[in-house]
Amino acid sequence: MTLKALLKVRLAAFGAYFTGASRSRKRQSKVQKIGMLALMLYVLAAFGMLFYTSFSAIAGVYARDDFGWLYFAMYAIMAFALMVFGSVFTAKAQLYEAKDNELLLSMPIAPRAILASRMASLWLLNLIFGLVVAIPAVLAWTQAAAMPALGWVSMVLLLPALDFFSLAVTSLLAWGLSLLASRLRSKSLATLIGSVVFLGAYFAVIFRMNGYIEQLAQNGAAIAGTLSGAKLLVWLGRAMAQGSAPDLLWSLLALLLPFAVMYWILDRSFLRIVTTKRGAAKIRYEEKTLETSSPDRALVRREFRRLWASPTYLLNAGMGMLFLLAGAAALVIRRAAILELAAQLPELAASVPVFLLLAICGMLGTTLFTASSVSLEGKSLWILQSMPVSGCQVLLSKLRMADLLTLPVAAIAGICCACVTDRAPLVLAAGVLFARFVNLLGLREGVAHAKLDWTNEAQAVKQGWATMLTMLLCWGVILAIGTLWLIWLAELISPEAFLLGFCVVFFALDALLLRWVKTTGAERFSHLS
Amino acid sequence: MLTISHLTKTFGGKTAVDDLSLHIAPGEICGFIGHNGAGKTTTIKACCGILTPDSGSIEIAGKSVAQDPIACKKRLAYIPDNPDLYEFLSGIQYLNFVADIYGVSQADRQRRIHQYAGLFDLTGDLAQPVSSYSHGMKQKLAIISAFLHEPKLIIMDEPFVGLDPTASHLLKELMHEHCQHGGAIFFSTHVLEVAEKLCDRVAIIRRGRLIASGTMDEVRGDQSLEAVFLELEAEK
Repeated sequence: MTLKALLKVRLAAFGAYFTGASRSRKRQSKVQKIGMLALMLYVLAAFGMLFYTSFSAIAGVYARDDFGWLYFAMYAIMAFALMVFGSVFTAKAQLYEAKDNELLLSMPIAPRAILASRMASLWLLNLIFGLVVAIPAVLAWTQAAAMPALGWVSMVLLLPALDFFSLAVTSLLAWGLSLLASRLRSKSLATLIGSVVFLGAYFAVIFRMNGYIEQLAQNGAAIAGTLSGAKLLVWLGRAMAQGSAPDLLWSLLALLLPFAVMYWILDRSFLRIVTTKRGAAKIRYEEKTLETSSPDRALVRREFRRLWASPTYLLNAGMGMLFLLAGAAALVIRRAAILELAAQLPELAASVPVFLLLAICGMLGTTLFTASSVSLEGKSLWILQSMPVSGCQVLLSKLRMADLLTLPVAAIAGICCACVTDRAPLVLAAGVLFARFVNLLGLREGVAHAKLDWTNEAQAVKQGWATMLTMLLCWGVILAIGTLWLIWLAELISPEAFLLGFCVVFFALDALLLRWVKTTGAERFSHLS
Repeated sequence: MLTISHLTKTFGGKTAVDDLSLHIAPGEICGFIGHNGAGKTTTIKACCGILTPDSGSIEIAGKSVAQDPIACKKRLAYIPDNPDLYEFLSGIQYLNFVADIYGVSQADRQRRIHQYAGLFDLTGDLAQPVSSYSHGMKQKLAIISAFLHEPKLIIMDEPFVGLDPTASHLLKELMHEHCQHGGAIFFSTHVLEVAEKLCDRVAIIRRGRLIASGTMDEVRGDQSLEAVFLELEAEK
C-alpha cells in the first residue's frame, strides 16, 4: 500500500518533469502541458531520427555479411550508453541526495519501499531512453532483413532487462559521483571542467559520426572479431538477430544478476547512505586583516563570488564564452584553410568580416550572465533592499561583472579575426558593442521577468523567462541582420559601411538600454518582491 | 527615532496594514505583538523600505523612508524572521560585505566582528560557507551583521526564533545596551513573556489595525501582557 502511494508520487513527479510542471510554481494550463509534452516528444523523436540514420547505414551491410548479431550488439551498446549517461545525474539526485529522503524516513515507511519507488522511476526513465534507440534499430533492421519470431520476443524481453543492467551501473556511478561531489571544495570549477570535457567529446563524436559509421560498415568482420570475446554482447546479438533461445536465457541471466546484486547491496545500506552526512572537512576561521572596499566594489565582488560558487550559473551563462574563445583559437589555427575557402568562393569573400561578426554575436547571444542575475537574488533579496544601496548601484554591479567577463572575450575574438580579414578593428568594436548589448538586454529582461520564488537555482538560471527571452531576442536580431545583409545590403554597401552602421546602431541601443536600467529598471528592482 | 504615521498597505484587495501610527523614541525597546497574518511583517518591511506603503509616511531619525531611503537605511539594521543570507559566501565574507556597504572602517569592523562573533560563539565557524550553517547560526550571523555598523534603529522580525538560550540571553543584553547608548529597537514577537520583560513600549496589532499601544505599564495595567493580549484578541 505504502509502495503504491510512493509510486504514485514518483509517477506524478515524472509526469510533471515531462510536461514542464516541475519548473513552474504556477498551475499549468492544459495547452501548456500538451505543448511541453509535444516538445519533449519532438526532442525524443529527433534523437530517434539520429539513431535511425546511423542504424540504416550499417543494417544493409551487416545483414548482407551475416553480422546480424553484431548489429544488435551495437544497438545494445548504444542503448546502454544512452541509458547510463541519460540517467546518472537523476539517479544521483534521486537515490542519494533527494531532499525528501529525511521527510519520508520520518514517516512510517520502510526504507525498502522508498528505494523501490525511486528505482522504479529511474527504470522508467531508462526505458524511455532505451526505446529511443530500440525503435530505430528495429525499424532499420527490418528494412534490411527479416527477424525471427523469437528474435522479436528477445527484443521485447531484453530491452527491460538491459534497462535493469544499466540501472545497476547507473546506481554505482551515481554513488561515486555523489561521494566525489561531497568531498570536492571547488564544485563549480570541477563541474565546469567536467562539462567542457563532456561537451568537447560530444561534439568530437558528432562531427566524426559519418566517419565512424562508415568504419563500422566497412570493418564489420574486424569489429566482429574484436567483440566476439565479449560473451554478453554475442548472446544479446544472437538472441535478437537469430532468435536463439539459449542465448536469450544467458542474456537475461547476465543482465538481471548484476541488478539483483546491486539492489541487494543498496537495500541493505540505503538507510545508512541517505542518513550519513559526508561533508567536506571543516575550515576553522583564523582572524586576519579584513580587506575593505567601496560599496560599489563590494557589490561587484559579491556578483563574482555568486558566479564562482554556482556551477549551474557558471556553466549555463559562461559556456558560450568558452566556445567563443575556442572558435577564435580555431580561427588562428585554421587560418590557411579559411583563407583558401574564401578564395574558392570569391562571391562570398567580401562578406567574411560580416560572417565573422555574426558568428561572434551568435556565441555572445548564449553568454547570458545578467539575464538570471536578478532572479538569483531569490529569497535573499531583502538584504540588498534593506541596505543603503540604490537599485541602480545593484544593477550596475551585475552589469559590471558581465562586462568584465564578456567584453574582453569579445575583443579577443575580434583580434583573432585579424588573421583572416583586414577589417578586424571594426569587427572587434562591433563585437564588443554587441556583447554589451547582450548584457544590458539580459539585465532588462532580468528585472522585467524576475523569478524570485525558485526552490532550485536551476529554475532561476535555466528555466526563467528572462534567460529564454534574452537568448531568443539576441538570436532574432542576429538572424534579421544576417538575412538583411545577404538578401539586400551586400549588394548595396561595403562590409566596412555595414560594420560601421552596426556599431552606430548598437552604440545607440546600448545607450538606450543603459538609461532604462538606471531609471525604470532601478526603480522596479527596488520594489521587487 | 521611528515615527509611523497613518501607514496603510494593501495586497490585491486585502488590507494588510490599516492606518497604523506609532512612535518609538530613542532609548526605547518596542515590542510588536499580533496573531499570525496580523500585519507585523508588512509594517516592519515598510519601515525598512522593502515595501512601499499605499499611504502614510515613515520617518527614521527625522528622515523620510519614501523621500530619502538611502539615508534612512544607513541609520537602521533589519533582521528578518527567516534569515535567508547569501549561501555562496562564508560567514566572514558576508560580514565583510555588510561592513563594506555600510562603510565601516577596517579597524572597527575587525574589532566588532571579533567582539560579537566571540560573544555568540561563532568565531570558529566564520570561514565556513553560510550554506553549511544551521538556522540558529544564520540567525546569529544576521544579528552580528545588524550590530556591525552601530545603527540607531534596529528592526527585528521574531529575532529569538532558532536561538539557543545563551544566544537569546546575549541578544537581550545587547538590545538593552544598544538602547542605553541612545539607540532604539522595534521587534515583533509571539513570546509575550519576553516582550513583557524586555520592552519599554508595546504595540498590539490585529487584522492590520493597531488596537493597543503605549508603555508596558499603560497597556498591561495590573494584568499580565498575555491576559491583555488574549482579551483584546477576543474582542470583535
